[in-house]
Amino acid sequence: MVAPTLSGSAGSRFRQRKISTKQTLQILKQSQLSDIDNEDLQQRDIQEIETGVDKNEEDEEHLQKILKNSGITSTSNSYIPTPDASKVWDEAAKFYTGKFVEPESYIKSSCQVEDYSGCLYNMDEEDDKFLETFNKSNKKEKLTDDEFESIMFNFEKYITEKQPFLITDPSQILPLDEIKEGLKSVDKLSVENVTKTLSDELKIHPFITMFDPKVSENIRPISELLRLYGNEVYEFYKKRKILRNGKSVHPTLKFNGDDDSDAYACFRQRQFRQQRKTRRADTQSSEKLIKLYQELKATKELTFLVAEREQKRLEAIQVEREIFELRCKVKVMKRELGITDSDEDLVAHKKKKPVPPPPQPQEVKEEPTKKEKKGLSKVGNNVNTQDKSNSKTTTNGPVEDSAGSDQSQQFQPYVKLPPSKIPDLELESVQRLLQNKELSVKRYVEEKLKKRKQTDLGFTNFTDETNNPYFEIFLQNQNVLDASHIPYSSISSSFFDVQSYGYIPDIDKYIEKGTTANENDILLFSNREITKKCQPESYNPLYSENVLTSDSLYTLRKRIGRYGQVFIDRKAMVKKPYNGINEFLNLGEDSDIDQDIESIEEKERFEDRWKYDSDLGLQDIDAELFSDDPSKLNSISNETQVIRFGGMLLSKAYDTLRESVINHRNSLIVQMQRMQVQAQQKQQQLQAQQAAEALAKNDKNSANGSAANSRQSSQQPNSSNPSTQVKYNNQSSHVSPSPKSSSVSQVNNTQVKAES
Amino acid sequence: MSQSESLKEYETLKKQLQDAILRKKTLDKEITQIEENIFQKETIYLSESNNSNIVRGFETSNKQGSHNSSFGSVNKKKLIFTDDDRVFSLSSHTFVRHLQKKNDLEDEQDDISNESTPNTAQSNKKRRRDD
Repeated sequence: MVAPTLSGSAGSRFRQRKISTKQTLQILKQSQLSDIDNEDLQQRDIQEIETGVDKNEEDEEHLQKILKNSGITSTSNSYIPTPDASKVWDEAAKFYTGKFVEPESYIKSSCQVEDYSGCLYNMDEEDDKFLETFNKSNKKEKLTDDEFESIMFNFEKYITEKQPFLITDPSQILPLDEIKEGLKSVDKLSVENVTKTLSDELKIHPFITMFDPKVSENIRPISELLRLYGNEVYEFYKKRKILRNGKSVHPTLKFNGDDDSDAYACFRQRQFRQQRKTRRADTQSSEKLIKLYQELKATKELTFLVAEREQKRLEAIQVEREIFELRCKVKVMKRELGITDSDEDLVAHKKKKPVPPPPQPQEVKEEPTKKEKKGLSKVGNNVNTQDKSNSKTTTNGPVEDSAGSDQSQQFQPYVKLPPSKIPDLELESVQRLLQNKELSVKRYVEEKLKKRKQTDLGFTNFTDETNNPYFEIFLQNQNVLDASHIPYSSISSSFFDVQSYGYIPDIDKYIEKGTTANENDILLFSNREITKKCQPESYNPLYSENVLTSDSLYTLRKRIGRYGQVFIDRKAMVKKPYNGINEFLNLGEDSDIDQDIESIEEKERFEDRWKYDSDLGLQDIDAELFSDDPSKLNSISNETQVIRFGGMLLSKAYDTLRESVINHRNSLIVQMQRMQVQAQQKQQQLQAQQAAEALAKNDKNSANGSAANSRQSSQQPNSSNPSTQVKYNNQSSHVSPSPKSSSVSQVNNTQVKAES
Repeated sequence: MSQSESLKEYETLKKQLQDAILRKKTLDKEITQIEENIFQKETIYLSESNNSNIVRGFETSNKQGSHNSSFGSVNKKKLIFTDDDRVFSLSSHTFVRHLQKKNDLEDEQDDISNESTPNTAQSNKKRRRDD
């Protein structure tokens, strides 16, 4: 006898244990060898043959047969029978007529879809024969194919559930009554009832999915079917079941090779080899299952909600249609009956947009990224904020669906940005900053305007011709409560009190004529009495050298001298009485030179020190404080006046120059045309030359003329004509772009305290 | 006679119309409520699911499981979901519009209350620091 050699494939199958000194090994003597199981040895020999299939598949019946006979017959004739797939089924084309249209997307499927649509039982030829004869012999209502399938399926399902080991004794099959009883309760979770449960839960009837056939089949409920046809079909079913040895009547695919007694062990669905089980793997998989369950639960909830939403939407659309039709009807009736009710119900109300967003095209362009960020953080992961905003918006009411005008509204694109990239801090956008600034400025101005109105309270504008008010004004010794608003008050003149004011009744006439009003034409109001004698004021901005203004009485300046000495200079707007140098000069005549120098230096220093400081008070210059010139009231400095008038004059001069040049050219053109008509071409050329010369000359002339004009125009205000004066005042306010131009007109518009 | 009859008919029609309008209004309200509800639940679902959900597929969860077995890396990455993943709530056109309106409104409100918010944020931070 040969000891079994463990080599080759067999060697890989049996784990070789290491021989250790600690373990006892059995010692077999030759006499004992015959006791070893012969079969065992034989099997080991057989297994040495390389079969080419997996170890657990070597039990295959046919393979075993071949292996056993391998020594007897030649192996070339023996083979494992396979199901015959060589024949072509001619009728296939007859049944598979449907044309498959490729969808745009990939076909995705995780399980056999047909399992979820319709009945799982499919009739075969035997069933067909039975049903045909049954329907012929039966005088009752016909049992349709679908109904038959339904009955068979239910039988099958119940039996496999209740009698899983029917194979052992098929004759033990349950009687019909028991099956009937069992089928009364509907299993909601079972596959074939999915559509029914779904339709119940969603309250959608009929529940048709995309997988369902388009022709709806009306299957009577199973209980009724059983009552009507149960006995006959049951007998048929029982017969088939016993014939099939208790296995499923309907052939099913073999998915798992769990059944060891299965002869065709090789022909089964392959499976990945199971991993070795450990406790961790177990807990892991159970955790995974729990997670998956929760996932599916949440998803189911969401999909159900979506379904509900869509249903509601459908309903809403239907109602809208109804509304539309009703409106049409009502309108027609209304017209016929001549009813004039309110048409409120007849018009589709569009929700007004809450606030139209202010148009800010450039700003949006500037910073789209920031906006996007902002938008996303709002739609982001933060559940809490979402809740808040949700509760906020639910009060806003429903969104009007019907509005078609909203289509023009641009949609802000949803932008993907991982929340990790969004910084936690609140980003201050430039746009917002600018807006804030603008807002605050506006607010400030509004406030000021309000305060100004308050200070203006009780004052009325008396003048009807705003251009010729001349007042005799004196300063009131009034205590101003809040001096800060004076610059914004239209009546900084409220400090002045008017004693008398002159008024020319028909001033436009004088302006037209360009003459001065007579003394007698002017009314002078003073102390509520009208006197007729008054000389109109006249003012020449160019030639009166010392214009008395009501400039600020002092300008103050902070000056830091040596050692951090701080000086506050007061500079009066009036000339400082100058006597220092005179004094010194007087002194200089008498005293020594040294002393002179010293005193001079001292004086200089003193002078320097007080150069910008004047002790002249208000009282000292009271007499010349306020000029009678109306345009000077609002403390516009002399310089400003000069600039304004200068600018005005310049523009005026330019205008006149241009005008004269244009006129001249026009006349030239006319002349040229006339000449063209009159003279011949040669002459024309000559004349053109002449004309060109003349043009050059004229240009010079016109320049001179315009200069003269400008001189003239500048001289015009010389004449004490109020009309021109008025004109210039007006223009001055136009020329100067400074904000004070408005204050100039305010001066002209001077308001007088209402006395009555 | 016919006049009064048609008048009656008119009245009934009008009443029907009013009913329908009312129904429409309540329906719209319900729809928006459902939409809000979906949005909320979806947010919770998407933020809780670790990048493996019904929208993105469950492959990553498998991988992560294997990672976890070799000493867990639970907080490996912050999980992200975008508007693309919101297949449930954003499958409604009206809701998209609704959201947009809301955002616009909030923008305005933010602009108004802008001055006060940074202060509170700062104070919050301070408090945190104090803690």
